[in-house]
Amino acid sequence: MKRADLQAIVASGFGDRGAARYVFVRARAGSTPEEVRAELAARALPHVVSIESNKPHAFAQLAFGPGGLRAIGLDDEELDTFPREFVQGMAHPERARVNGDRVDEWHLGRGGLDVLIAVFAGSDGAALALERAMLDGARHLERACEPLVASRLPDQTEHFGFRDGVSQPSILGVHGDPRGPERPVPTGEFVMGYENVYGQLPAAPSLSPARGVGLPESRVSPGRRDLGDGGAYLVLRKLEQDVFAWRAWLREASRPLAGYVADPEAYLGAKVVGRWASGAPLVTCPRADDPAHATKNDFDYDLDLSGLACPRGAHIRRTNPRGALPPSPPRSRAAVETRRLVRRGRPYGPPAGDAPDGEARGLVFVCLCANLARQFEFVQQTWVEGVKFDGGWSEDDPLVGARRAGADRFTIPRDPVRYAPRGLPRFVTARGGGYFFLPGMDRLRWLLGARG
Amino acid sequence: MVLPVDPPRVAELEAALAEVGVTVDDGARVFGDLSGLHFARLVVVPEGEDGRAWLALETNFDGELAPHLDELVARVVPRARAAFACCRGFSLDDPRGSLLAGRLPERAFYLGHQGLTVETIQNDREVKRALSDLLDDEIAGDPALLAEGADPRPVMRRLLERLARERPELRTGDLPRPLHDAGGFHARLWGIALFVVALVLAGAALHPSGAWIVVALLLAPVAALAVALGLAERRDAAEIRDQPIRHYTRDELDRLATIGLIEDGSPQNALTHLVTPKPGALRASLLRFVLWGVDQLGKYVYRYGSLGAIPTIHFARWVILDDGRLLFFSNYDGSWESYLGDFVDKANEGLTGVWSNTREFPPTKLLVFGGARQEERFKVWTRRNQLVTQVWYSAYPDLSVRNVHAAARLRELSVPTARRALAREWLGLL
Ligand code: HEM
Repeated sequence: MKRADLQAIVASGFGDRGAARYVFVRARAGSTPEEVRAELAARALPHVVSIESNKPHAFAQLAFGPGGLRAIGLDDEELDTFPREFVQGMAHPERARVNGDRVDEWHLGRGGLDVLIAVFAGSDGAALALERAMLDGARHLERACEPLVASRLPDQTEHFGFRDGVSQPSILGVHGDPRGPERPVPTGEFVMGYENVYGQLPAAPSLSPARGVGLPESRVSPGRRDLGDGGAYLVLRKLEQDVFAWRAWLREASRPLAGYVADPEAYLGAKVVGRWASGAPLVTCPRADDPAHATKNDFDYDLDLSGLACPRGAHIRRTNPRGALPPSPPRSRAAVETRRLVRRGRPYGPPAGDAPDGEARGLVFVCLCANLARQFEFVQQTWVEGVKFDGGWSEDDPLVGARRAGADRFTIPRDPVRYAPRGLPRFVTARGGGYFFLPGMDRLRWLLGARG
Repeated sequence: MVLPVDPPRVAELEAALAEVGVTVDDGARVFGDLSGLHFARLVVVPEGEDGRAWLALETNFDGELAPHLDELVARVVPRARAAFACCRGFSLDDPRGSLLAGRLPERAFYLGHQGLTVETIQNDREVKRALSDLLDDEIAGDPALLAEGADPRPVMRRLLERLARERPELRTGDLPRPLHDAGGFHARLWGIALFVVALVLAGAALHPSGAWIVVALLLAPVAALAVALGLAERRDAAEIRDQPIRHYTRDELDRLATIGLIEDGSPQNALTHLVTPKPGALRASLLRFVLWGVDQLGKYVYRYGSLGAIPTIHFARWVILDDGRLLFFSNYDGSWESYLGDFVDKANEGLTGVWSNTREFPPTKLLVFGGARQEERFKVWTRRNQLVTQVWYSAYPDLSVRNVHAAARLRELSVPTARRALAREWLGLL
């Protein structure tokens, strides 16, 4: 495995780098592909680190939307070798339909996003300095909009107050020793050029031999030159969180439970997420939070099929049902393995105080996969937005669902009488995003190199 | 049913169907008041290599054909008159005869909730809704119901009383549920097994190595078939492997764009899919044989709703058109991606067995292996051969197969019981 060929974000979320800026860049009108390539190569490429690089105080990762690939000189025929989802882009009506988005509510990427430069650094100042070093004075590149600036919340929490980023797949060959007892997921689920769970190489973009001079032969598209090896797809979504609506609902909806559970608000929140605020999973801690289990991830739902500990609709059970789905736990685990996501998101916006403040805040949801339709879109459409998930009647993801028609409640199984509050407000609103191609290091150098 | 259309009139037909509209509600304006109708669709089957095109009308209904035909003639034909008028030889004076002439036998049929009529399914849905609402109401009046570990029977009793009083029109308890009798199927399997054993024993009695000779004679044709198939598969595979995984043509991309804006509008979806079998008698007979097998499994083995292990198919059917093409209709729950994912992850042998006999299918081994497991190729192949389902109707678009089964169970259990475990299960369904 050529680890030095993967951009570092495949392996890590850079937890030790507290600052992050997502900078959206485009070519200036009138600049030629050669000029854009040369400038990206001179200004951005030297800061892009691979898994194997020694990471400086501030560094970058580089990814392209379809417009960005055009700007550096790929033509329509070449773009058509990318997946349809990618070429259409997240704002396309068909993708919006699949993802449950209302694009008229967006303010990021309605017209597509061309180039993403994600900057990570040890301090906000260093992140900003690197962004400016790359873009100030550029002649062919410009910011397409204000950068999204990640914020820091205590204890790796997100704005609703829950620890995030606990459960991640370990990737074969990327994460040397698997973390925990979970079997590592085949590399090809996240990186092109490697075998996926079906023992096959993922479909990958390619060029004709005449245009792809210097690239090796494609192993999936006979007679063509490969552009995919070491690359992945990166999904970025700006998800606004309404913390005050969330808190108000917890207060209201937990009232009937007073006297029947120890801490009704904490209980209701945990049932929605599937973990307590500390991160402790409901499956291992059904009664009360236990910080000793904060990062616990070796659990399954096979002994909790009815959802008495963790509701079937809880956010983490929907987004990774483990052994919960029919026909049997082993077959469920095998099928679920084809739907894993590597999450690399961070919160944005200031922490919420006690009173509504009119500030926008949320999660810059970022995830990686090798197959947009089978992994990200499937999870979003079928598990998060799907109102029939795992035998359900009319409920979407209680935490992040868009509450489209037909989604109106959340069922918490209890013995003998379930509690199923109705009329859940929408806590999370998508404000935009895009699909990006995150090339492997070799292909990135080729893409930005001088060629015929 | 399929009704022939002269290719020059296909565009006119498509326009006539577009006039109806693609949503379930549009479909309901054509099909909504037919009795016992579960699902229906109208689809243009485009011109094949020998230049024949059709309008396909697919309906899944309870009861007998004759009254259903009467309703089609009286209601559907007049409402979609412009479409039927495009069909060659379709007589608006004798629509019944024209429809009957277009009947095609299904080669394989599967039903996710055998024996449940539309009426029962709709009744059960109302029972579930009413009981859920009543339970919410009870909890609002008396939050103490939320205490854990309580006896489930008093709540159940109260809810059933209220249901009987407030919704007397709803039926509860057992309702007739006629299933295909699997007895004959099992008897046939046993018959074949006994026959083989008898042959072997007879061989043994006649000659010292007679048993082996009989086994060899029985296996010879199977082996010959396997060899012939292996050769054919190798030839086919060589052709396919040289093609990149993704190669949609412009036409296909246009069709996918149309499909993309139809799919996923409700929790259920329709798939219409058309492929051409590989040439030759071997493939033609294998295809018919596997379809027959799938049909038997659907009728007699998966009677309670899981084709293979796919718990999301309401109705599925394969027919073979007069020009040999294989047409597949299904009505399923959830997204296309999840349906196809189930094909790949849970039912790949059966589907590979059928479709391996059709053109451009991903390479297979021994008929049922490989194929659909080549996930990306299989999905692209399916998409390339998918037709636009122009008009589609569902009598219960808000129910998944699992909902149908859970509601039927709830209705069955909705009778007073002294058994705690049953009362608990019953409450668990709400
Ligand atoms: C603002 C929106 C969101 C918030 C606040 C949020 C919050 C959380 C939290 C607190 C956890 C549990 C901690 C952990 O296991 O890491 C979690 C897990 C997870 N979330 Fe989200 N999430 C959001 C959106 C999404 C979306 C849109 C998706 C997918 C489309 C998603 C996919 C996942 C996955 C896959 C897991 C891990 C589940 C597991 O493996 O057990 N999340 N999320």
